[in-house]
Amino acid sequence: MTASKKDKGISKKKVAAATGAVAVVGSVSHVAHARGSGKIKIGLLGCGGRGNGALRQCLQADPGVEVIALADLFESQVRKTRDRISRDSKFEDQVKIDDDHLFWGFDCHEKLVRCEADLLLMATAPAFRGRQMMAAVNAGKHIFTEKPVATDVAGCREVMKASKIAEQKGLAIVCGTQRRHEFNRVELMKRIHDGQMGELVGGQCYWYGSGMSKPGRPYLRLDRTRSGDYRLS
Amino acid sequence: MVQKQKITRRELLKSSALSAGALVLSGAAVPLAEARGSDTIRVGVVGCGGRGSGAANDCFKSSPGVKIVALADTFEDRLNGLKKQFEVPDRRCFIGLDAYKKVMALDDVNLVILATPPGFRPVHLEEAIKQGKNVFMEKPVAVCPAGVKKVIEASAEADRKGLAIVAGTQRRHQAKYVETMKRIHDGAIGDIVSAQCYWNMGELWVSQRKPNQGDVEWQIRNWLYFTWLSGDHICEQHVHNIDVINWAIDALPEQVHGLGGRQYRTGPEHGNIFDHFGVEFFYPGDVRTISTCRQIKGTANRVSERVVGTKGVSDCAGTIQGENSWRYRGPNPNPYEVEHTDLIASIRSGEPLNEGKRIAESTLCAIMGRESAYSRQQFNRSWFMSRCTLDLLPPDDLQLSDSKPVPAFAVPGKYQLPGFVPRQRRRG
Repeated sequence: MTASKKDKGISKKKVAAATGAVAVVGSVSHVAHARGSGKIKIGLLGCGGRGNGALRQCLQADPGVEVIALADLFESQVRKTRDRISRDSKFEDQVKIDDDHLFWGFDCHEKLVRCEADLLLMATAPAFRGRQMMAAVNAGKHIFTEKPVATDVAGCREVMKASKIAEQKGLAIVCGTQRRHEFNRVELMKRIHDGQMGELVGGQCYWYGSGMSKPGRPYLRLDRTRSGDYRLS
Repeated sequence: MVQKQKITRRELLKSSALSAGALVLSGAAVPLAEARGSDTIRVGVVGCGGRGSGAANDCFKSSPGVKIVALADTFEDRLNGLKKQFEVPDRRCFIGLDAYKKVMALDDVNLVILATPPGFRPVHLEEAIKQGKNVFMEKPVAVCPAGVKKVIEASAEADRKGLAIVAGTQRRHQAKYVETMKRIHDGAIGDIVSAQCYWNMGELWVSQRKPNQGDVEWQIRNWLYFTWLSGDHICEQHVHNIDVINWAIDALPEQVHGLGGRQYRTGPEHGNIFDHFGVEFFYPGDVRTISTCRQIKGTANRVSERVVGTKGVSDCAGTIQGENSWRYRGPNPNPYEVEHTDLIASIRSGEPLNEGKRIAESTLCAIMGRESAYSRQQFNRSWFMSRCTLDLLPPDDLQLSDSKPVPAFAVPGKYQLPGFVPRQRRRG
C-alpha cells in the first residue's frame, strides 16, 4: 500500500531519469536528511550481485549520490565490493568509503544504521529484510529495498510496520519491482486504469526460465527459508 | 436364455433388408439394423474391472431390451463379478490379452463396452468397428498421438458403416451441462475470453506388486501409474474438464504450455506418472485457459470448470452470472445412465451418435498438456499431430510374460519429446 502510494507520487520527469533507485532521490519532499547539502549519502547492505548492481544504478541515477558505507554478512564481500567500486572511473567522485565504514557479521545492519548515511540500499537474502528495514526506519534512514521483502507472514507484518513508521517520519521506501518504474508499463497501466480495456475479467502472468542455482553457492536460492522459494526470489 | 434370444445371421440379414434397406446399401449395416426398433441390444463388455462393471450396469439400467451377453478381460478374477451378475456362460467369457477379439467376433453382439486401461483403446476400437459393433468407450481413448490418429480413423470408418460411438464423458449427457452450454453458445456470457478447469484431489488406489507377478501383469493391474496404460492422470481423469472447455469454446487449443511434477507419489508402485500438472491452453483468438490437476493426499478438492465471457461467467454446470444470470432448476438424471440411453436410442432410431472424433481430440489436448509438462516445451497442436513421433501403443503380440521395465519418469529439461527439435539460438 505504502509503496504504491509513493510510486504514484513520483513525477513523470523523475521516473524518466532512471530506474527504481532514482525515484527515491526524486521524491525530494521526503528526503529530510538530504535537504540543504544536496548530497545523498548511501550505505549498501548486502554486497552480492544484486547489491553491487543496485549500488551502481543508484550512483548513476544522480551525481549527488555518494556511497559512504558497505555491509554484508561476509568481510570478503564487503572488501571486494569496495575494491571494485573504487576502481570504477565512472564513480570517481562518488565513492567515499572509509575503513571504519565497512561492516560485516549478522549484526552488520545494526552498525550500518548508526552511520551518517541518508539512504540504505538493501539487497541481502529476503528473509532478513523485515528486521533490517525496522532498524533502518527506526534510525531515520530512507530505503531502497530489493524484492521480495519477506519469506513468511511474520516478515510481511514487520515490513508493513516499518512502512508505517517510515510514513510517519517522512521517510521514503522504494522496492526493486522495477516494472512499476518502466515507461511502457506505467503508461499502459494508466490506460488500463482509465478503462480503455473495460472491466478486467482475468489475467495471466509467467516467469518460466532455466535453472539459476550456482554449484557451491546453494545457500540462498535453494533454501526456501531464506529466499522464499524461487517464485519470490 | 441367452441362446434362445440369439439372432442368427440369416434372420439378421432378413430384418435388415426389411427395415433398413438404405443402410444395407452400405454393406455394413447388419449389426446396427439388428438393433433397430425394439430389438435387443446385446452387449459385450471388454474390460470388466470397476469402470467396465459400472458401465455394464449403467447400460443395462439405461434402456429396456439390453442384455449383457459376452465378457472379456485380461484376468479371470476381474471378470467374475459381471459373469456371476449377468449369468454369462463360460463359453462367452474370454480371458487374456486377446480376449477382446473373441468378443468382437461374436455375431450376435451388437454393442461393445470398451473399458480396459486406455492404452489399449485405439486397438480395441479399431477391431470393434472392423467387426461392425456399436461402441460405448470409456475416456480417455488414447495415450499418444499415434493412438489418437487410430481412434479418429476408426471413428470415420464408424461413420461410413453407420455405427454409433459414445464416449464416457458423461458431462456431455448431463442435463445441467447440456442446458448451460446451449445458453453459452447462444451468447449468454458474450464472447469467451478465458477459462479455467480443475481436477485437484487426493489420491486413488494402488495395486501393489505381488510375488511372481510379471512386468506386464502388474502394470496392467496397477495401470493408473504407467503412462503407456493410463496416459497419466491429466489424461486419465482431467480429460473430462478439458473436454468441457473445448465444448464451451467450441474449438480446440492451438498451442500448449505445461508444468508439472512428481513430488509426492514417488514410490515404485507409482510407476512413471506425475502427481500434479498446471497447463495453459491457447485457443483461437488468444483465448488462454488454465487447467490444473493434482492427485496428492491431504490436499484440497476442486473438480470443476469456469468460463469467463464479455457478458458473464459460468461454471458450465447450471449457473450463469452476469447480464443473463440464470440457474438450472430442472431434473438432473444420472448422467452415467443417460449416456447409454442416448447411445441406445441413437442406434435404435437409425441415427447413430458418433462421439469418436470429439473424444479423440479432447484426449489429444490432455496428451499435449502432459507432453508439454514432461518436456517443458511449448508447441502447436498441428505440430504434435503431424510431427511428434511419440507412439506408446502396445505391440500386437504383447504377452503377460513379457519383460517390460518401467521407463524413467520425465525430468523436465532432460525429457526428450519424440520428434521435437528445440529452436537453435542464432550465434554471431
